[in-house]
Amino acid sequence: MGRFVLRRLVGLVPLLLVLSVAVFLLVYLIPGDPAVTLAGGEAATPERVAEVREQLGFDEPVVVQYGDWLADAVRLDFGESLYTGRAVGDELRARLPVTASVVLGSVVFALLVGIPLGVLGGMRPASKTDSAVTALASLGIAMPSFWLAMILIIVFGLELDWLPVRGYVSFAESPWEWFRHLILPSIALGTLMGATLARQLRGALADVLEADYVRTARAKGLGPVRVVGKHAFKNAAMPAVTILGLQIAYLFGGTVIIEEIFALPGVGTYLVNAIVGQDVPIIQGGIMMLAVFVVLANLIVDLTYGFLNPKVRVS
Amino acid sequence: MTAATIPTVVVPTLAGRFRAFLGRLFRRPAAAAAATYLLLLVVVALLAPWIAPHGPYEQDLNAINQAPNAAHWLGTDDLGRDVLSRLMYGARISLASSVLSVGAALVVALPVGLVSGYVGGRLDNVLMRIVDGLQSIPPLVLALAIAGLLGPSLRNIVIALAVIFIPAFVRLIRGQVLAVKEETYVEASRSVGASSGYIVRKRVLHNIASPLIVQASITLGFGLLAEAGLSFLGLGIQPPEPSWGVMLSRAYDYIFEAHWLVFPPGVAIMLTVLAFNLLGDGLRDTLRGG
Amino acid sequence: MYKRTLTVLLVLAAVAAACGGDDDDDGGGAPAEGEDGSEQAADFDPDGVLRYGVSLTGQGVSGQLAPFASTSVCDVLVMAPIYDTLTHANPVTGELEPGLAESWEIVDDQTVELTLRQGVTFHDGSPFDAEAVMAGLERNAAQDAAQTAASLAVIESVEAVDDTSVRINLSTPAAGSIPAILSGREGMIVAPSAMETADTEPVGAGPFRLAEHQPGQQLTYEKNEDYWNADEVHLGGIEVVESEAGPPTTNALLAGEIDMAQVSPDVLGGLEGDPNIEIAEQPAKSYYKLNWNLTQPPFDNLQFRQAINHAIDREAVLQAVFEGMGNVAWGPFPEDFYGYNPDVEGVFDYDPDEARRLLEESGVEDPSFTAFVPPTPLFIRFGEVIQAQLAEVGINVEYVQSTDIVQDYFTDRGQPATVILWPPRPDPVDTLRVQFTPGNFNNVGDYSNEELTGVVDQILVTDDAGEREPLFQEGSQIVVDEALDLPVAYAPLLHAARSNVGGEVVQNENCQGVDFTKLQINAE
Repeated sequence: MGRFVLRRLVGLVPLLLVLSVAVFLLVYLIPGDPAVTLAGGEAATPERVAEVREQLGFDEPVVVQYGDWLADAVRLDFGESLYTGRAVGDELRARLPVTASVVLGSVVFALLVGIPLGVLGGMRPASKTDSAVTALASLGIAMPSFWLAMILIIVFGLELDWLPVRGYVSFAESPWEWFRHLILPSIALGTLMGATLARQLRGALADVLEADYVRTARAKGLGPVRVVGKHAFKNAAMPAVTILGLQIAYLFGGTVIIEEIFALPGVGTYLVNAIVGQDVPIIQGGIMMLAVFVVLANLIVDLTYGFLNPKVRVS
Repeated sequence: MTAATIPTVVVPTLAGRFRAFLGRLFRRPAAAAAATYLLLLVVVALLAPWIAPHGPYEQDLNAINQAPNAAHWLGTDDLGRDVLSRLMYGARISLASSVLSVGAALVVALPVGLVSGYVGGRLDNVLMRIVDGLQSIPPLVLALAIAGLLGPSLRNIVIALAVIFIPAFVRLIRGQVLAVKEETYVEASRSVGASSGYIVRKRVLHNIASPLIVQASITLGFGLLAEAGLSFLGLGIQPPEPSWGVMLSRAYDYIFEAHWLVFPPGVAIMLTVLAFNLLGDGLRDTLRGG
Repeated sequence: MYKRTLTVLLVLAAVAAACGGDDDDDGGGAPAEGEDGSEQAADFDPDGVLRYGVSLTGQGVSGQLAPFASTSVCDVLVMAPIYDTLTHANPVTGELEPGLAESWEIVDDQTVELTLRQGVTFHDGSPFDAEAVMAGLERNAAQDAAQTAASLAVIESVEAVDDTSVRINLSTPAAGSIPAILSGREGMIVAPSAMETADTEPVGAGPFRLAEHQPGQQLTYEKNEDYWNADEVHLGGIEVVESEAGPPTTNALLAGEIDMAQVSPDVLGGLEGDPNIEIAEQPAKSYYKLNWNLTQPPFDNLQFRQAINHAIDREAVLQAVFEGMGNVAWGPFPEDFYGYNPDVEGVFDYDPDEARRLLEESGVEDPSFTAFVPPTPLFIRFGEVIQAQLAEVGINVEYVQSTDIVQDYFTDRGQPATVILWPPRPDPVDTLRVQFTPGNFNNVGDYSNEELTGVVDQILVTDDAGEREPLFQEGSQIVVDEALDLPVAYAPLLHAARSNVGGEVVQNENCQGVDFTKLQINAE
């Protein structure tokens, strides 16, 4: 097991390097010259612009710029915002709990809804329940998350006024409010994952239930519940877990829009504003951070998968 | 060299196989409904300039934010423009960006995936590392960054979306190539002097077609969602162009006063994505040999 | 399966639990008993904290806290409470009133002398004297200052004549405009003792001191009891919190999460009907318009410009985009301005036929152009209405959204035209000067009109309203006759406030917020 973990960790390094190059190079897409904006735009004299260019290292060759950036990035120093001059790393760190809360909430919601639905459908394949589950899941997958967010806001915020539709309250300040403010965002973001999970689970479960060893178990006299619990579920869960792993990247991306709509001060809103304003250091730092989290999350999935299924470790 | 060592097989005509395939596909109700819907949508999109009741930019400043009525079947937006007409024209833009980006992604992914799989070795390793890296960046964020940095326009959206679609296609294609490489009839074909190019064309492309079509169908749906997301955040299609994402974004601004406005574009997006997904499912089941 | 999800959950939960605190305190201490000598009739809560919502990210407030580092005029909102200004421009009448400078004198064309208030100190106790003001002005005028240097560029030197007198020497005859300029960021004085760290730890002599700053999220202010006019300041504190324009702000107001915010006409529909919310309306001096490069075709063609002006139904725009609030803009100055010229009204009334005729006469072969537009809903709608009206007469407009008009249009000149909300300058003459006289930043085509330049020069040397009035009228006439831009609407400034907010709502121009010294939280 130890060798497996080690190999996986080592395999991360080239991945992270490639990632960092991709993120760094993104910036070269921008037409125009950020040095002029930073020099004050309106009153910028050519000397001032040149000064700023030198200060920020825009005059160095690309490779050197990348090297400098990378050296700082590994220490979580992503430079300062071009507009406010404040440290990007600090801001990211401050906003991380918000984004993490939303992602966490979404995963919890997806599991709470997806698993029962998937099991329900899978245990009675081709029944009315199954059709309902499949239909519901298909809708959930097709629905744009931000549209769902809007509908939730209209129903629960405007019409019924049961739940808060904006803002974030930190857990330290009030666990109850933290929870309440996260309900709608989690539903909006987690629905896709929940629906996918339900579908996968249902499909895998239905398949497994037809497999030989299950029939054998039933023939032995084990009731359906025990069969499901002991054998079928564990094996059906594998492909479902794989899907979950693949969805992590989507979650971290989707949080960007959800944070916007629910006015949550997370990494997402920070990043979107930076992209709109072409605030380069924030864009690089923000994307890098999100991507690293995706990589880490996938690593955890990988490791636990390997832990559960010894066959994988050998590959 | 006689042909006696290789059994000849009667290959049905392409048209014949296609017709049989369609028949099997349409026997599945979900896929049939989806395909019909999509076909209708494409027709409406193409014919929009002739069948839309109003122009998409026609403002009627006296009829702002109206609920559905006789003159405007789906109501009007915040500048008095007919929602139904904008929905029709929006179909053109939203479908176009989706189709173009998937197309562009395929154009890049096919050669890359084929070469990577076939050549293997260091090249394959490097390419796969790059693909891994790209796939670690949350897709929407990457698309946002590319579209935002290049400057929002249809062309740049297509580029941004294509970039996020390429990794999955490359993996798929490469995977198929690897699978084929291992099959014995590659050896057999080699043994009768067939060149590698011939093998690629005949075997690989033949095998790839099915999963690729399925994947493309589902990706078209995702492309629609992504374009809507980009436009919603202001980094996609720009107003006054009526892409469905732009319409949703405007509807959101009036969510407190006229919240019915969020339904037409939202339902349109959902139905279309659903259709693409159902079609993809149907294709997968049919091609598998149902 | 369980272990994997458990691990993920634990990791995420651990991260989520390690979060920073968010200051979410609502205002309100013990209710006040009656108070003495107050002008306001209502009882107020001396510890009352006003929660003001505004967008702290994006293209508004820049997050800079020192005037010489400020890159956005919206920063006045967050900086004015800290620094106050040397002179005050009354947002309603436009007249200059004393601020931290008690009085001033135009000694001659190139010299201004300020007399400072006595006994004023900065937040850290250091004296607000002529030496300090000298240092502050020099810092704001310094070469590396971000935006304040532009208007102060005419300053050649500043001297401290005595403890309370400051003499400003100019390099060109422009003394008449200096007092007005000092009512903006240019007139905000940073304590010399805190100059180095002012951008993050600002020290001024204003009515509030900054207690806490969470960039992009919140600024917390406490009343400065040592302010020279502390008795007239009724708020105990202010919390400026992040709130994005549009539905998020509407939401926050309705939910009571913020007490006050600036709003645009298009969100009023969502706020009306709530008995706890009142809307304060104030005529604005900023006008929505189209600016263009006067030396670049097709805008170098007079008839083309005139055609555009005739093609716009300004009344309809006012109705559709601004809910009928505000006034039509016929020229560069609003009705209540002392230099307003009533003759400019209706020079370009809505006449699409005339527009088409002029267009044909102009000989412009390809009547189309691309313009920048700020990416907010209000601007986009404004742009779309203009676009439709111009299309009616055969002129084709396309838009490119720009989050930084200053950079994209004025500096880079990426497109020949832009939609813009033109704010009034501390000295109104600058509206004419910086846009339409040569050698100025906002004159993108370096357009030159001798007559207009002459008028502007004459205005610059005097600060007497009587002398300036006829000159402004003449200037306005020239601008309109030559169709130098497309003025469309003066939309009112709007602030929404919950009923717990009392006092007088005096709104600052554009995005610059309100005068917090005139507000209070009503006692329970």
